[in-house]
Amino acid sequence: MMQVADLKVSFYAGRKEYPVIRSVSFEIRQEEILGLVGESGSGKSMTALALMGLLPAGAKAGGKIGFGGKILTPGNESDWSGVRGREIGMVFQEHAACLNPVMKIGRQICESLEVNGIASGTTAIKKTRRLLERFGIEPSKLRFEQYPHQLSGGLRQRVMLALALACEPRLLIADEPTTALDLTIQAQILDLLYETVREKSTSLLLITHDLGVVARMADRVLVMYAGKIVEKGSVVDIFRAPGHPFTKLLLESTPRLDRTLKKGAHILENEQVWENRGCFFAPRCTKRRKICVSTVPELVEIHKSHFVSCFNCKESI
Amino acid sequence: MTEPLLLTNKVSAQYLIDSKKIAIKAVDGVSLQLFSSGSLGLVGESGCGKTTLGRLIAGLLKPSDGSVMFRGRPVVPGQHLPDLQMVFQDPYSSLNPRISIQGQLEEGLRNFRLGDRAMRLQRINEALVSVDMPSDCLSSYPHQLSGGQLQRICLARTLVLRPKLLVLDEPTSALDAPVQSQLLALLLSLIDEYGLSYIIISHNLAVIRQVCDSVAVMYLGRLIEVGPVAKVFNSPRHFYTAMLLDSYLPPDPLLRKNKTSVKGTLPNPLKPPAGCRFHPRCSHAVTRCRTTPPLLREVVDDHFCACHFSG
Amino acid sequence: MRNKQHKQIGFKTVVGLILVLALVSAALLAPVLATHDPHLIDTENWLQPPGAGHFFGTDRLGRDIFSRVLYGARVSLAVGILAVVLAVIIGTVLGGFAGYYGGLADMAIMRFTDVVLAFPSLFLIITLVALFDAELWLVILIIGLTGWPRLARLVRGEFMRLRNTDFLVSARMLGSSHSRAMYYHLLPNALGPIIVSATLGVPAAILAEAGLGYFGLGAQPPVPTWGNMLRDAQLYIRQAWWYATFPGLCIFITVMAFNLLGDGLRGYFNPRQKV
Repeated sequence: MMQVADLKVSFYAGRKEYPVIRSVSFEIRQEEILGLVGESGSGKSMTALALMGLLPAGAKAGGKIGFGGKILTPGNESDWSGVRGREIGMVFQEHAACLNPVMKIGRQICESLEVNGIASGTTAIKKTRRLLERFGIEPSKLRFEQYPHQLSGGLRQRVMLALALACEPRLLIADEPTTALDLTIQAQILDLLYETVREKSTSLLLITHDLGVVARMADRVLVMYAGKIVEKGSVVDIFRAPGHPFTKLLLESTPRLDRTLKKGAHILENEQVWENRGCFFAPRCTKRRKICVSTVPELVEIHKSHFVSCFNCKESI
Repeated sequence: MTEPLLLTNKVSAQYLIDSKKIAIKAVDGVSLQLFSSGSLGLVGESGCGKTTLGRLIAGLLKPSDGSVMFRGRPVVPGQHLPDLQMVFQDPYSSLNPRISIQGQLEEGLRNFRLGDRAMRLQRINEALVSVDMPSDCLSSYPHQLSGGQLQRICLARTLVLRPKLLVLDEPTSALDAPVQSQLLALLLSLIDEYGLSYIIISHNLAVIRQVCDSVAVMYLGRLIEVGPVAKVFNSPRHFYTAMLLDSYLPPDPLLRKNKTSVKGTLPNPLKPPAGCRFHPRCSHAVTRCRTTPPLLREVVDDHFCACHFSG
Repeated sequence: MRNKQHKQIGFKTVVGLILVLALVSAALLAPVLATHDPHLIDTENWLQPPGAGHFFGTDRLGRDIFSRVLYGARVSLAVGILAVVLAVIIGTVLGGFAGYYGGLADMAIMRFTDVVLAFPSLFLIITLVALFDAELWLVILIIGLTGWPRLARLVRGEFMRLRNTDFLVSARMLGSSHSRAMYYHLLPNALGPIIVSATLGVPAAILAEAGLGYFGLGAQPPVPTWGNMLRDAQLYIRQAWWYATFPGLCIFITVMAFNLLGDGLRGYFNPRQKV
């Protein structure tokens, strides 16, 4: 449904290049929920922006994105007109990035419907009302007339979802949609998201650092580190049989209710290093060898549909 | 029977808003105690009052009612002691950007006039070793260190004061998972090494599970369940605690839940429900729940619950 | 990757700084650089246009304008800088207290600030100077005493903003007294706006002084100030263009130099966040 080929994004300060995404290739399939995990700084949010054609000024991008028969070039804003909002919807963590603070909720949704040619006038208003009800933004009559700041965090997130899904896009990209929310509200929002996405056969790219959220929602998972995808596979494979040392580290160091922390699993040898000739995770890897420091590993299929980029991993299968 | 290290006696904190016409009780009559070498977790969602309670305990806020006693003496807001210290959520904003790491570590020692130059230097070096930081970081400035390193420095600058009680407000929320677990393991080791007791405020149940012996669950300013962490999390007595635990997402796709049991949303703190504050969202609510606020009662050993259905 | 704030020293700042340094040096070195005694009257050579002997020409009493301008720089810069220093001290202390303590202290100080701000400063200066017989130190005092409110507001704002940051709360928990919190922790972090405001306050003070001189207040002749030189030059504008032009040009360049520097520093202290 969407193919991302060799996506690269860098920033420049003077002459110096700061690569944020080094080369990332993956696909999002029809009706699937794809999780994208990684630490802060891994490039996952930038990937979301690239796929939405919203790269910040000053970013230099490369690669190609194939979507719905069209080729979209990252960095080339005009490719996305007509696509963004209509065929690709987006939800962010920061409501200020999505919602206009000086426009009433109802009107924002109506406008989106009108601009994208779905409905207009009274039809749009009726549709919006129904959307508000569907997404639990009640009482819909009251909420229609309210401004974003009058709503609680959880309600605002629901509005963002409603707004993003109003035009029934084929793909929804959600960047940390529930990170700032309370546990109980998160549970409700994720349920709503899951149901809606399945019902409308929308694909979802869910970006988060929270492994619990990924485990709950995703069919397949991509693990990013230092601007590259280091592991790709089904959610069960990634969680039950992780291949890459970084994935293992993430899983072992995530605190759980049912297990106490493994002693020693979290000793970090060096903090993150961004310049490297070999594998970027090598400085923190307990199993690094000579080849890890000199050559960059490629993604290799170690198991059916399970890809890992690690020299140690190939041999352990 | 030894005296508790920390005791709060029906402590409340009130905020006046709308030009002093309306009062919100962020913390409403909370009574807690913590003994030496204990580790308590405070959990709850937005508006539950856990952050405010933390500040009351640390002496950063004046109670509108009730009292906070530390080592048998009342905590005076504004007057701080080396014994009672705090670590904050955001390591980047907890450190004065213009002061070197050495300066940060010396600050407490200098202000409380503890020891001479030699003793201070020794304590600083010991603290750095305890938090796993190299001694050459002393000449660095905060902007040169990462979040995890900064949080460890924040810990170290309290350790040099040999505190008896440490209050940590969401200490790992701003950090990535690997760095988080490093910090938590560190905390555990400090209990023995420094004879430390701590109170951790967190919205993350799993973090509390890892590093606390006991846990206190708060809802809309009230304490609704307190007890040993394993018991409370494995067999919660309060329906809200159960709802909270049900909302927890384990990092395991095979434990996936299809639909959450969460009902309703947090009521307006300006108009909290009468009786049991949780009753509008509770599927077991009866008339009594709507009229009479339940008291915190001991259900089993050390396990307390504020619900008409328990005990 | 954390957003790193890049502090760039812009071209503007450098130009401003060079000009300011040049002006201050010229003023300090006036005795060395002056070609003539600024008080020397030479009625035979009155109103000479700029030439080899007199770079800026001579005035109605035959005094060398170039030398007078140099000595005038001393007055203007002294008044400008000293008045600003006074304003900064008063403004920082009052604004700092107001911002830090809040509540009653804040209200009281701010109302007082409003009162001072309400006075039209130029008229106040003129009135006071006329009343008390113009002397240089009095001019400095008065300009300083009327110029602090703006800075006080600024410092108050900064202190209020910084008052609730975690690092300050931590400092208090670590035993910092209120005074230590204010001068050791908060002040260094509020320096940026203070420096900018001070730098931009100098041209205002200089202009105030020039204005006074123009009205015949402030330092009296024979002490040359740019202001009273302009006053002298009024009658002769048609015949001797150089008489008013050079002092005027000096005022212009000085004001511009400090404004450039101040503007540039403002950019330096508020860097835009780049990747």
